[in-house]
Amino acid sequence: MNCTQIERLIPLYIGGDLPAEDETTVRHHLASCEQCEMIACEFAESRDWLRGFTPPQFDQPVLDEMRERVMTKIARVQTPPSLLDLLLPTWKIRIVLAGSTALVLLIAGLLVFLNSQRLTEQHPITSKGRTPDPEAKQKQHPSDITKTEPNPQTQQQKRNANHQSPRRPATTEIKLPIINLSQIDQFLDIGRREITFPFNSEIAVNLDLNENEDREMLKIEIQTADPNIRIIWFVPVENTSSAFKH
Amino acid sequence: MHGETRADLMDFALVANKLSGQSDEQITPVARLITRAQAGDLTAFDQLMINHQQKVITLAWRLLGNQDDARDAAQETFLRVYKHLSKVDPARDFSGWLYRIAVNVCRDLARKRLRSNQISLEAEVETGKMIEPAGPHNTETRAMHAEEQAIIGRALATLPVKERLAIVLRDLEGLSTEEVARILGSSPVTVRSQISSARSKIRAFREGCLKKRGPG
Repeated sequence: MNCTQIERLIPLYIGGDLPAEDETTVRHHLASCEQCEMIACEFAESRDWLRGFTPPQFDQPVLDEMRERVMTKIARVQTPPSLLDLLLPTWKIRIVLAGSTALVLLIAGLLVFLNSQRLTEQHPITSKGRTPDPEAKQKQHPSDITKTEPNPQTQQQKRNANHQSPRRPATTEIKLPIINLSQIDQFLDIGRREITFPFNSEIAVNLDLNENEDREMLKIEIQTADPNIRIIWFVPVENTSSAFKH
Repeated sequence: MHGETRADLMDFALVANKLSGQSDEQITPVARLITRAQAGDLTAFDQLMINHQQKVITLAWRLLGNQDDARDAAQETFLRVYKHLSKVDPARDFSGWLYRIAVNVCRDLARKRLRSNQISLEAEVETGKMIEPAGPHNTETRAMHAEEQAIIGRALATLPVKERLAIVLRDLEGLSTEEVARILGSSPVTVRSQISSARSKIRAFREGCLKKRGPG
């Protein structure tokens, strides 16, 4: 072997990593070659220098703490994880924020809906689409009430009158169609006195059925052409029925 | 009830060892601890950790060059050991298996931290965190020793990971080439090649440092 070949083997020779045969060859060469011997010395010094790389002395408390952490984690692994533990790692802040926002919006929407429902029940506005109570319809005498074409002006007055009237939760309000003033005389005969209307125009008549447990009352509401004047009349249901039968 | 089950398992394991031809004298203390730990005895596992903690943390420090990382790596190593303890044959080389796990943990950690060991070591020297076990008491000599340690750390940091692992295990941990090959999962020939290359680079690095310092 020449010096170049020996130089390649020196790094392993100084650590005793060569096979016995190669080691003997290198040893014989080094004994005769001063330059290779010097290189081998440098490698040996370098290896010793590296082995001086001493680790720090880890304090006992540090090691104890490390072991304690390991034991804690092992104990946690051994105990079955709770539902929260299973969910928490998958939770991300974005998901949590989005979820909570959606929940708040849902609750707010639900509250608004419930509130609007409650208001609708408290203020039964007589809208176009509202269907009259079938029982009240039966109580109306078909010959006494004549349907007329809905007048926008009078409907507006009617709406105003409804908003101005005091609320009586126990009374079911039945909206009747507008009747002609000329036909109201017979209707007003239910009462015990005559009412003269100075207007020769259409008036709105509302019949409210009082659902009082003791005695059912029929509320007759007459809206005159003047929006500020409205006549309200309560009649027992029996009388009204008989009056309608005329 | 649970304790009885553990004891039964431990007895069963010991009996199994006897039947397989191993006498009580042949069963090493480590093998006993492994058997007990496999049966769920946490005290035995704790004792295993106590026996090997210095070795693991030292290796981790040599590979990572940082005390905090070394502690984290040791912690993760023992957790992995516990996780796969059931697969260990108590009669076989526990130490080699432990080294393999520690090396893999250090590799993973090094990838995660994207921090060079050179910087870590320098930082430790500067902050005084690096403590020499048997260092000189004289302040000047102590400082020189710390500087020397930092240079060695830097020399190791210049090596490729595989060469570094090979030389640390061979020259610093004192394992045989065959053991190193088993731990790294490669052949002894490959490990010899890596060791040879690493030693040449370390020598060149040291020569370069000596030249910079000058004859004084």
